[in-house]
Amino acid sequence: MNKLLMVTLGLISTLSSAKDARRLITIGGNVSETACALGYCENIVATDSSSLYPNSLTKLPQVGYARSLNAEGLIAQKADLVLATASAGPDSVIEKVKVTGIKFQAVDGGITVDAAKARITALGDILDKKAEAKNLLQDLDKDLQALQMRRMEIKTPLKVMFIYARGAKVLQVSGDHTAAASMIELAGGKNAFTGFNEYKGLTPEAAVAAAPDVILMTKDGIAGVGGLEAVWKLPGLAMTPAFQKKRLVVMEDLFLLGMGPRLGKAALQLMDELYLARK
Amino acid sequence: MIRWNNVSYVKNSRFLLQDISVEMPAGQLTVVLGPNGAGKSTFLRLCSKEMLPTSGMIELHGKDLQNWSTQDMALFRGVLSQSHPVAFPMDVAELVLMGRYPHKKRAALDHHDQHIVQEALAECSVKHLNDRSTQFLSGGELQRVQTARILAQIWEDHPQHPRILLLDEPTASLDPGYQHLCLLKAKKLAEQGVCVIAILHDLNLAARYADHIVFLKEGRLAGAGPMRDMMRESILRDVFSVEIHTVHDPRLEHPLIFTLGPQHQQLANEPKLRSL
Amino acid sequence: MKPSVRYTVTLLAGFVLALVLVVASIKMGAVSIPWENFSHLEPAQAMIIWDLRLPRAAMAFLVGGILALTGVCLQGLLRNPLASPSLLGMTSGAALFAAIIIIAQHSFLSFLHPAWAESMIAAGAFVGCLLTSLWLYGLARQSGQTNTALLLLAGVAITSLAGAGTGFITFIADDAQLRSITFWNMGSVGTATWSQVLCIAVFSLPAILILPWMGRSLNAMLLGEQEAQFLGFPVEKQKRLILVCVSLAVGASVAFTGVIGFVGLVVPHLLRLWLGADHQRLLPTSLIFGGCLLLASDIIARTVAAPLELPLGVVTASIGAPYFLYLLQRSARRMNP
Repeated sequence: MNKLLMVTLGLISTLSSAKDARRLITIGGNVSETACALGYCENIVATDSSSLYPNSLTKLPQVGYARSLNAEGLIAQKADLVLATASAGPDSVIEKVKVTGIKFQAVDGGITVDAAKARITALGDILDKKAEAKNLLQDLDKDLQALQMRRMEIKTPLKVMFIYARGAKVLQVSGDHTAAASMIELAGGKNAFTGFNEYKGLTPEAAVAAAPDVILMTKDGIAGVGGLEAVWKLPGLAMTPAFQKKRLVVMEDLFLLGMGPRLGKAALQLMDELYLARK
Repeated sequence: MIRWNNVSYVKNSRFLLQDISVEMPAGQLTVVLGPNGAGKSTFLRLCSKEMLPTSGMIELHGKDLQNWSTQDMALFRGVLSQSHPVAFPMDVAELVLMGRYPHKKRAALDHHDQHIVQEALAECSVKHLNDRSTQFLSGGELQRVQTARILAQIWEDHPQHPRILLLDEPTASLDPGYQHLCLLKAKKLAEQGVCVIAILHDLNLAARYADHIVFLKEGRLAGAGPMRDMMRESILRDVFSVEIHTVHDPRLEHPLIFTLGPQHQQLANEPKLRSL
Repeated sequence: MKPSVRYTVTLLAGFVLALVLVVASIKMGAVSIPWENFSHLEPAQAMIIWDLRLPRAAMAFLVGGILALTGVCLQGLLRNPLASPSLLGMTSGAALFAAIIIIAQHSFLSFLHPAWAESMIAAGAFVGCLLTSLWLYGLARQSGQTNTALLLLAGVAITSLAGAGTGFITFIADDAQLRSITFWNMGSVGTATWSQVLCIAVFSLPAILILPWMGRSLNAMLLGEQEAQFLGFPVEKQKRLILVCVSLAVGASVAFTGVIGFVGLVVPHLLRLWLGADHQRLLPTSLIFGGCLLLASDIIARTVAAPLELPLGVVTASIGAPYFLYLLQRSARRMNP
């Protein structure tokens, strides 16, 4: 984000009235990213373990994992406002934090494009950055339109299998209603697995039956299985078209799955990787 | 006094003891003898209420044994079992002091109890082990320490009931000197009025110290009565299936018992032995 | 030093240490509250002390004391220095049920209000602990008596079974559930409230009131159950009583704090080395020093990496494991001089 733009936005925000949060805690990768994008980066004093973008956030004090926050850690930051994804907890901790007068705002954590847009609008309202929010949405819409046009030119969508690697031994594939599914659809691909919600274990038979053309993974996932080469040794992939053509797309976790302001750019990059890159 | 009335004990549809009626009076040392598997340990366990008879009744001081509570019996009944490993190391004095627990339900153990502990240790010739930890004792030393504990438990006369002391092979891991010491003390206790019942293997020790003998063979009573009547060649031969030769030395009040060989052995062919 | 003197000194030291730690836990934390403020606390600071730090301290001390006390009792009962509620499967059963509830909250229990979520997990864990204790007791009964050798074996078997169940649930759990299960298994007093402390206190009352007086009985049981019976102790009744007190207290504790290991092993072991095997001395001192250990661990957990909070079980394991390694070395050296 342009530093000058941020400073300007910062000035504008200090001149604006109500909801004038000086010190902010943001919990949730896309919440932090959006708050930053709306111009509040300088005001964020602490984040959670999933807030990795922009990189400056990782240098801030950590309040832990979103689902098991600790009250005193949050209070000690002397924040005015805590913006958190809806899954943050435990509830008792949040109640205690509210009692000390710190405002607490939950933001929906949905993984669809509409949910992402609603999130940006909601945060814009909370932080009184409606104009900036609108700008972000406009940029996003532009990307979405571009995606839609390019999608219309795709004759046969590629089947994409998203593998979530929770360590080398536990591999799962994405079905419907996940961020990965949303992104694959946006990028003009077809989810190789449908008919079930969220994640299911990867089995060789399922992989063969699904016959994906491309495998999609995140950088952390690659690290989890032990490197790029290790992917091809995973059981069951050998009989898939993806393996035969060695089609593997790797993208950064928060960028691909965050469903934050950059989701349009991520979808475009994914679309490029799927349909333009031919190795 | 312990009296058995037609007592049987069945386990896994087998009679370990069958139809036994016998009386073990207070103030006497009764020795239970018999070959292996005769049921001697079972006999003692039924006396101590560790197990309950399948049929028949055991009387303790005139009352059915089943009606005596554990707490009451602990005040005058001591049981010395064959071996008890101690789970955690502790000091010898602490171990023996536990013998006084039944006498002080809630109250603290005091100097009186400590005094008894020291006396009991002296009685068993283990006073020098007072401060030792149990993990560094030999098998025999531990046995004597446990004996001291049992003695401490029944050290004092009970106001209403004669004391009872049950000994399961107390001489098993002791050298000859201590074997005699042990039984001498048991005899002395009997003379004080304690009903002492001991299982022994050594026939001579039994002859020397017992007032009363109970013979068990294959779960049945094979004879019971005063020592002089019981320690005869004919009875011993039947019970133990062994050739017995008793010798009466006029200086002794009891016979000396020698076992010569399995029953019905042809001894005539042995050159060194004269036929009996 | 005479043993009785040593005991009195140790007990007093325990009280003093407890006092010091309570003061430390009030003073220390992610939010700094200087000493001068203590006479006139601002409402936010007062809330931190009364609603955050004190309940945590109370829960940590109570649970630590219970874990150590029940540890001593089980070690005496089973005549095994490695015995603890964890070994008998009580904590594994609690963990299994907690994991089931965590998963269920997303499926058939999702109609329940999220505020009930934590209480449901606690209730599930408590029920899990009680059920495993009942099952354990049933398995170990033999012709009307509780066979302690069987008890130990049954405990190991139940732990494995519960572990398999929890493993399966971990496998089918999604990311969020997995994290919840993992954190529950690492232990924490971070969400302590006074009502939770009260709940634990109520269920631990039998244990705290009854167990410290069973010192002589446990001493006698060290000689063997038959010997304890000959000394006049109603062994079977007392075994049952001990198991009931332990399950209730441990169940309530684990329900709210999750799995916290090592306290029930390290504290009794150290005290046994220092004071001897007499349970009359071990029981009260274990209660106090167990509380001190867990309270100290909690202070460490929330200050060493503030504002992050380490899981309590991790801190106690970091203290306990090296201690046992050291013990292992020492006894190995003694065996091969």
